[in-house]
Amino acid sequence: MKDQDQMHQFKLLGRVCLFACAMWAGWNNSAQCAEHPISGRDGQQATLIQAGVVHIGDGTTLRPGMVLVVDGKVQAVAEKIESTTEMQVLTVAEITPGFIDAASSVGIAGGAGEVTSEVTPDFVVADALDFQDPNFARQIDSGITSIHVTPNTDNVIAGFAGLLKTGGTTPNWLQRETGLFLSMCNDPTGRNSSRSRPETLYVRQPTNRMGVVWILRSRLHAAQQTDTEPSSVSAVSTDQALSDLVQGKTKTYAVSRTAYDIETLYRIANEFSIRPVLVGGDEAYKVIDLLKRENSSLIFTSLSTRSTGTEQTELRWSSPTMLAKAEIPFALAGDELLNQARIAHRFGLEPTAALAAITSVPAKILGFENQIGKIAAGLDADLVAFRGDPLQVTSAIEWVMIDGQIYSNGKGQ
Amino acid sequence: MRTEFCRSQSRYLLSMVLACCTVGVCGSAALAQDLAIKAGKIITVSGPTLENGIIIIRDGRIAEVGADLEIPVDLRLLDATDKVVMPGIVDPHSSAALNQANERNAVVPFLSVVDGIDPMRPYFEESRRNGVTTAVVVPGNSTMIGGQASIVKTAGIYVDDMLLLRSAGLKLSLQPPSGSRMSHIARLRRELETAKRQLAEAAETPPVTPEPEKPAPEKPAPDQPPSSETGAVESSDSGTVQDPERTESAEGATETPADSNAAANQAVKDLLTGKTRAFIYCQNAADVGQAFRLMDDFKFNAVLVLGQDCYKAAGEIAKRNVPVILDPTLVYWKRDPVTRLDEKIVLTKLYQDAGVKFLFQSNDSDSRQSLGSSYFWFQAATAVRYGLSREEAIAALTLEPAKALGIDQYVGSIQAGRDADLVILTGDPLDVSTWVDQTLVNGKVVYERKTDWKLKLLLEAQPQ
Repeated sequence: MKDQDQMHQFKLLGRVCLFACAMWAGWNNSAQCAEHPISGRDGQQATLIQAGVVHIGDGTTLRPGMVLVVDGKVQAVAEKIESTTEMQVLTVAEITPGFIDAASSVGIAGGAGEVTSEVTPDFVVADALDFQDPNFARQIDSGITSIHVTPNTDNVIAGFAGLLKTGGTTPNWLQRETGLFLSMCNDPTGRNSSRSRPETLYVRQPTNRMGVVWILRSRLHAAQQTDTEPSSVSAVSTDQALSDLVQGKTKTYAVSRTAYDIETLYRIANEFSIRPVLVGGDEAYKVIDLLKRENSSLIFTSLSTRSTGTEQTELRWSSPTMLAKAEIPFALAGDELLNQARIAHRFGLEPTAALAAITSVPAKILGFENQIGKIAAGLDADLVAFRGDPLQVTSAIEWVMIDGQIYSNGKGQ
Repeated sequence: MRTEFCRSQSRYLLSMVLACCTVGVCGSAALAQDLAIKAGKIITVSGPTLENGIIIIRDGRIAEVGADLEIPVDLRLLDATDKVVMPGIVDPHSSAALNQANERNAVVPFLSVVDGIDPMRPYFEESRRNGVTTAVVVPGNSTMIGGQASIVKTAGIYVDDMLLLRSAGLKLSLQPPSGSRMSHIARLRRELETAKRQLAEAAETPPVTPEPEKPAPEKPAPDQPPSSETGAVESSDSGTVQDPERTESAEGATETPADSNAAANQAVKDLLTGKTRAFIYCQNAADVGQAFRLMDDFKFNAVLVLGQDCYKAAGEIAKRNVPVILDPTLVYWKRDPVTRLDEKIVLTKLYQDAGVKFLFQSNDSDSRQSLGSSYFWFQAATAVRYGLSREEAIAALTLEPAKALGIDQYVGSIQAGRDADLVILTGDPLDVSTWVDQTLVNGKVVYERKTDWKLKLLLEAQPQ
């Protein structure tokens, strides 16, 4: 309940911010559109998009359908909307919601791991984000309109991820601190590159996977013992952040790929009553019953990145299909979202589920289903226009819209 | 449809009687691999696409293709009425069939991939699974004169059984493995000069005039008489797998160092006399210019294997009728070193706009990723996304590479006389949900999806 309250507060805050942004954007448009080609809509406040197929994102479609965009928001979606002379009318073959990458590393400047400590719960990715990183343009070009920038997995308790739009001239944060990332996997054991030189200062724990569990458990246990005052999620002290975590005030994400890591993760999670969103999940297909029992949500990254080395996870191309069958909510994430959805479909996932896994499902898992992830009245106008069936490799993206602004080839128009 | 089928069946009864007589007269029953394929759609590539067509295969070759063919009763029928049949894919450049693609020694023209091809490499299994029936096995990209390429079918246990063409070309690389480009090119030129001079010296004594090279098939084409005696002798140069040559190469194994020098030069001489072509790896656009200079100075033909950056020479490539093979990563982003601005590079579009016909190659990787460029269909579909026509994309996987390598009279299209190398697909070749259902090499089914346990396991939708 508490974390829901917290989330609610954040959402409210987010909405206020967005409202302010929208106000600013509106003023900006009317006042100085010529100087701002990125945000300028040349006074065209309303855009009507006529599409052969509108993929709503939640599994439903309109064939044909129309989407009315006003001031960066979708104002109406229907089979038929009358156009007026003030509207800019665009005709496209098919349209989907903008894609949401729920586990991305784009734009983190100066490295995402910390060598001097394995527990860094007060680290915030948003503080290291370089919005000028040209990779954002690449994300836009491939239809990704929102990204969840996550810390890397070198640290056992790694830090806070942030959710932002890929478009705009300045970072448009949906939430600067979405949740705390834990690494319940082998990765933290590999961080110690100086193991062969034990005299160095940088010999860090853990050095094996048991050590990962030990650090996680002992630090959470210590946090449970200390009595601290409740505080905001953006607590600056490590102790405070850990305390918030064990008190259930912080949304948590945990990276686990192998079946044994996933099992361990839920064992620890239950000991401390935390409800992590599972990230990774390469072998999730082996523990489907557990995931169902734990009511898990999964950010599945194994279609784009296949873990190797010590984890040696066994690959199943049908993992997304199995998760869908078991009705476990999962997002496809990592990289190349559209190709992931296409390939997941190739491997047996229903087309609607494949599209949902990169739109409405990640929005829901991240707690922003009322703002992004669907083409629906009141939601952000984040859209991807296609020249054909989005799930066909032969179909090109015509343009991408973020908050009502059209981009093509990753660039604003 | 159905009535037509019944009618044709009654015709079968008639033809059955005839067929019995024929069999009696000839005294030779149909071979096990003889069969007829009834296909929902046949993409012939060389001719029009047929809806509801029939392919008749005899003795490993396509005997007839048509919409209204009668199926002889002696033939096994392969029902593909709900499927699409296309020619087997030709991979024009791969080193994945070799345990080691490159040598430490920079000049090894005497080596042949035939001695290094391992038919058990995962490459071949993956190839059959993905409809690749012909592979041009070429030494790697980082040896200056890397050895001789061969063309093989992708099914078999012994490399000799798989050979379509033993000497398919000599691999040259313009990328210096380390050090200076100047010395790399200078050394390459010196090797070619030496061979050229030796040829000129030999020409002073009257030589046996070599016929212009025509790749000879492993088996004689049905419309051609079996190779004459002279043909077999000549083929020792052109590289068939017929017995005289096999013996010769066995002798070659016990050569003295002096002989080995001669053999070394022989491969280069074959290139300079037009008996074989070169595969030239160009790392960047400047290398393309170097490749053309070499081709002009030493008068040989080549297929260019292009690194990503070579698109900058697309205009120059368009002026010459030289086949080019693209880097498997067709779409990528490039950062300008000065402005730090990113540019999206779509290779197929850049070459297409410049008027260059191109071929695809598979990604040289054993552990194929689930996504992307490891797959020919994916590459072709990507090219279509950026403006290539579907017909051109399919041709770039089949007939175009066959033509570029001079093997189009054997593979690359579905027409009478061609090897029965076919891919039976569950749907359109470029559709994301299409799978290879069966692959045929020389009329034999070498891959069947229903018995592919590995694929089944990967796609099994029931958790174990």
